[in-house]
Order: sequence, then C-alpha cells, then structure tokens
Amino acid sequence: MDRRQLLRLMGSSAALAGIKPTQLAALLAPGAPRRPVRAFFTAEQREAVDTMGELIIPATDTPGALAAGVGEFIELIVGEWYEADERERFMRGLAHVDEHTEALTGVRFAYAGEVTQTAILSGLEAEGQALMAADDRAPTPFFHRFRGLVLSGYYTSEIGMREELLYRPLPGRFDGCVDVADVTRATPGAG
Amino acid sequence: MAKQVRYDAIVIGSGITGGWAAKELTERGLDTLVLEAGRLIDPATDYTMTTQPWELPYRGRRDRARQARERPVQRECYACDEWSEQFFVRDDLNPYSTGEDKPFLWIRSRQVGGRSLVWGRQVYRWSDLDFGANERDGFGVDWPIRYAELEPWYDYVERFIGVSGRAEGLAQLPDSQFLPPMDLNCAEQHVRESLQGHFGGERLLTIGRCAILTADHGGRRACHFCGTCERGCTTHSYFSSQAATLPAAIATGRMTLRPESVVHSVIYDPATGRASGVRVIDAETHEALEFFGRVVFMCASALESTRILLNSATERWPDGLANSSGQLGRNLMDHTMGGGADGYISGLDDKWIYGRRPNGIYLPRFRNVTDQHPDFLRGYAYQGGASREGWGRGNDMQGFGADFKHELRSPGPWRFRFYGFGECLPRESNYVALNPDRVDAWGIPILDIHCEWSDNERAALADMSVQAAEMLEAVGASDVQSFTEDNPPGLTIHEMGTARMGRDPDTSVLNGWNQSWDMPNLFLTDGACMTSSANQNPSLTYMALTARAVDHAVKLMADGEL
Repeated sequence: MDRRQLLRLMGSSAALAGIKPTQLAALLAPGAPRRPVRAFFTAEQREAVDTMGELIIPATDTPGALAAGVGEFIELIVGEWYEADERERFMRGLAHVDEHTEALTGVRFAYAGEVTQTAILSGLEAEGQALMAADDRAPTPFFHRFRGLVLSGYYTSEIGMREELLYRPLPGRFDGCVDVADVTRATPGAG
Repeated sequence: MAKQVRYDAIVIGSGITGGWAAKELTERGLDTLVLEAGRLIDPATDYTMTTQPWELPYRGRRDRARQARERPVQRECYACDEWSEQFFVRDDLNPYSTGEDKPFLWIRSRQVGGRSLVWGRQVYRWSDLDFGANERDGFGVDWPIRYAELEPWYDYVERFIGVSGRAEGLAQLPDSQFLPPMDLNCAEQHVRESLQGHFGGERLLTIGRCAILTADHGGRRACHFCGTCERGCTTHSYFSSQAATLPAAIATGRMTLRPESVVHSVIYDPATGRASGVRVIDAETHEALEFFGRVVFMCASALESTRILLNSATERWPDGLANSSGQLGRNLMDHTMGGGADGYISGLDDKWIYGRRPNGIYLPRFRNVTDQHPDFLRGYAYQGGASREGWGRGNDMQGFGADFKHELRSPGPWRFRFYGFGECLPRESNYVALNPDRVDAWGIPILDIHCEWSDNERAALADMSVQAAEMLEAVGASDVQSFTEDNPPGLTIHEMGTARMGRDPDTSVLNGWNQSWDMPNLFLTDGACMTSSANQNPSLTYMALTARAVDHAVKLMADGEL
C-alpha cells in the first residue's frame, strides 16, 4: 500500500495523525503477509509485541520487524501453533513486560520511550541469561523465546529474505568458493 | 464378479524400482500394467519448488497439531515438512504395530513416483567388500552375485539417471559413470587436503555422489541449485521415476498405469504352480479387482512387498507366498545413523559460496577394509559437510537492535559436520509378520514389526563419533563436539532384507536373478531382496538389480520358459 492509497482509505490526512509511526510503517510496507490472521492478542498486547519486535530488529537502511509483519506472525504462532502450556508461558511473560514497565514508569511498554524500553529489554535479557546459566534445563526465558520468534518471523519474511538478506530463489549455479566481498550479504542457506 | 484383464507383465509399485521395471519391461516390448497404491501427481500443482517460506502459514514450521493427528510417524522424517508432507502417507490410514520396546519408524509414500519424489538422491556402488561380507564373517547367507555381475548394470542405470561425482579410484567404493562433480566448498576442500596430510589416502573426503544433473542430460535440465529437491523439481533435475523412468515407459505406448490401486495379494494358480496375477482394492471405491499377467514384479518397497506376499498365503503356502524357506519377513535391516562430530573451521572468513548445493560430502568406509577392528564387523561412512552459520545464530548471541541486526547480515563462522551411516547385520530375529488383529483403511492386515540394533551396530556407531572428532581435531577444527544419536531403526529409510536373495532355496526367498525360488514368474527387486546392507545408500543397487532382473525375465520369456 502506498501513502496515497492509505490516505484514500483513511478518508483524510487528519486521520493519519492518530496513527503511531510504527503502525504507519507497517501499513506502507510492501509484502506484508496477505493472509488474515485470526486476532488472538488484545490491541494492547499486540502493541507490546510490535514495539518489542521493532526494538529487536529495527528499521535501519532496510525495513525492520514491523514492516515485515513479524507481529502478525507471532500472533499466529502463539494463538494457533503453540500448545496450551507454551501459550500460557508466553502470555505470562508478555503480561509481565507491561506490568513491570507500568510499575517503573506508570505507562505500558509501548508508550515508555525508546531509552526506557531498551533498558527494560536489556534487563529482561540479563535475567533470562542468569536463569539459563543457573539451570540449563529451565524453559527458555521469555526474552529469548520472544527474540527467537522475531528472528524466525523476520528472516522468513519476504522483506527479511529479499531486502535484508539477498535471497535468490533460483541461483542457477553453485560456486563453492567465492570472496565474501563479491556477494556482500547474500545468504545461500535459509538459516 | 471381479474384472479379468491379462498383461504380459504386472509391476507392483511406481517408485524407484517400479519405475525401472516399467521402463525396462515396456522398452523390451511387453505390455505392462503398473499398479500404484497412491494418487497421480501433477507437478504443476503438487510440487512446491517455487513456494517461498513467507507464502506458507507457518513459514516452514509445519502444522504441528495436524501432523500429530495425521502423520505422527512420517513427521519424524526431515522431508515431511510444510512444503512436502503431501508426499508422505497418512499414518492414521496406514497403521502398523511394533514389538514392545522395539520402536521402528516406517516412513512411506503412496503416490505415482513413490519415495523417489522425496529420496535423498545419494548413489554409491557396492564392491566385493560388500557382496562378500556375509560369506566372510558368517552373518546371513552369502550373496548369490558379486560386483562383476552387477557392474554393467550399474553402468547402464547411471548413464540413464545421471550421477554427478568425482572419480577417486577406491576399491571399496567403485567409481560411477559420472557427470561433472559439484564443488566442494572452501572449508570442505581444506578438510580434504588436511585429511590427506594426516591419514594418507586412507581417509578420503570427496563430494557426495548424487542423482542430480550437473549438465543437461537425457532431455532433463541441469540443476538450478535452489537446494530443496524434496519439494519436487519442475525441471526434473534430480532423478525420480516421475522425472525419467515413467516418462520413458509412457513413450513406448505399452504401459498401463493404474493409480489408486492398493494391492491386496498375489494370486497363486495351483494348476501351474505360478503367480497368475494380483488382487487389487481400488483406493477410492474399495472395489475388489483382479489383474492377470505372465510375470509379476514386486516393487512396492521392502516392507510393502513383504506384506503383500505374507497376505497371499494359501493352503499350499500357509506361511506366505513363495516362502518355502521360512525367510520371508526375516532379516530386516536398516542403516544406523548419527554418530559424528561438529567443529569450527577458521581462516576462511573471507570466503563463501554462491547457490544452495543439494548435496554434501562423502567420506567412504575406512574401517575393516584391510584389517579387522576389535569391536565390530563391517563398516560405516560419513556424509555431512561445511556451511557458514546464518541468522539462526542470533538465538545464541547477546543483544538486540541495529548492531545485532547488522551482525546477522554477514555470514557466521564455518562449521563442519561429519555424520555417519553404518552397516546393519542381517539377523533372523529382526522380522515382520502380519498382525492378525488389525487392518488398514482398505481392510488389509497391518504389519507387526520387530527390529532392534545389536551390539555390533552400537559399537560401530560409537566409533563413528570418536573418529569424527579425531579427524576434526586433526584438521585443526575448534570447539569440536562429538555426538551419538539414538535413532530407532527405520528412520534412515533404508529398510531392507525381508525376502533375501541367496544361493540356496532352503535359506533364501530369491535366487541370483531376484526370482522366486518357488514360482519362477514372480520377481522381487525392491529393498526386500537385499542379502546384506553394506553402509552405502542402497537405491542405486536396487535400480541395477531391477534392470538386470528384467533382462533375465525377458530372456526367459523369449525362450518360452516363462
């Protein structure tokens, strides 16, 4: 969808003012998943998921997690693909992010500001690492589980594969030894 | 009233051996009926070669809940994924049972083309080290043939299917008729050279030999290196019966292919003492049909062919058709897999690859080639290879954000893996029988499978792991980690041996021409015929045996003996 189509859809440019920049980026993105996903998250939960995803894989010189539809992918996996215990653990972890942020700042994670958000995610990562170091059979901590979903959602999306990496569906030949400089960031393997 | 139709030849199965039987029989002038239990495949709609991860609902993670219901066994195979699960049977419709504490994974396809659509495509000749193995150590019975008898048939099959690989002149792994080899990558080339320095010629790393075209061949196009053959190849660049043998049979105008035809049993004619045809259940209508032919070729896969013969018992053959030896169903083998090691290769960070090679390395057998290892008989070989880690390594990195993303943009370190495949001894105690209490969706008794590894297989598996780690250490790999997986038999999908060839009708089901000792117009050329397992991927040998058996059958028919 381009900006003009979006404006037509929204009725006026004034309506755009109510849209968060991250949402705008998603709406304008090419190649976002076309398949509608049955809503599983509340709007607040999805907002937290989208915000965390974009912090982990941000838009830089290439689009980030939001543009690649990672939030929708995570909603599908958690809502449909996870088994009940996995889903419950994920939702507990997600709720904790907002509760923890509200306790510290008085607002939910999505509205905490990037510096605070980054500090909170770093704290969660450090906590998770400590848990895994203490018990290597403990369930994967929320941060690491979430980051794994962002990675697989992003790098299996069309944006992740074709814009961030230089995936070629039909390479046409195989060369076993080339200089890295010649292929810049091509990724021959899927993972 | 069952319908009566008579053919020169009936072939049961359209997979890797059924396709070859169909091609050879029809090209030699015989009107041939090919019966396939599964559906027709339309490459235009069934192949998923061009489906990209982002076009799949779960991006390749598979629909876990549905697979748990419909394919709880098949999903154990790497290829039964979100792209390709339609090429594997529904376990709920095709059940089997196993002995208590004897897990066996039976990975199956029912469709025109069979498992040749999803096979691993690795092809290796056997040598007399393999054909003479049973005679040397006394396990099983002696093979009725030696390499010299199969060599021209290896040549014949390889020239048709197209095999890429590199001639190395090894006695224990004879060279094939090769198309140009695929490249080793930089790290593999380094390991090859370094191993030569440490072990002389004894441990030789070469490029995998595979039935994938590296040049246009026989009307099929050279590989385009998309890397995922098991999704089906619209350019027919890897060999399958869909791509090559069935089209050749169709071209003769003498093949009748009947999909959706579940073979129930082989019909025995007491008047002639021969097989007169087959009973079929139409997969869709469940109608019972009969087809008649002068010769019958069993090519339904090792355990399906065995099951059909067991289910063909009559008063004359109470233990299963063509089973005067009592060996039908016995001596089930598979290859062990999963002893190996991983390590990092340094010094090549400025080098990479272009394209996705659907093939790895091969390190041929070096154990028990000239001397005898104290712990185990027979041998093993390694597959595997080197690759640079991709974005998946982000899961083990610290951090997130722009720097994290940009680091994952570059390829990670080179990682090398040796992954071993080992020979399995033939033992009568590993067997299949009909389960008298259960039937499948077409009312046919299911198989009851009793199979377990012996200490010999376990000792070789342990050695694979140790030697893999030693080799990686020797070539200077870092962070070397060895592993020994505990895979149940079946998962290597090289199940074989349950209707073995031999020299003596008292101890084998088939003679040296894959022909039943008990009824001369019954041939069996799939994996069930194997007298020992060797450690090489077996499909090439099945194909060579099939072409050779058809040649023999056609000569006998011309001579009026059949």
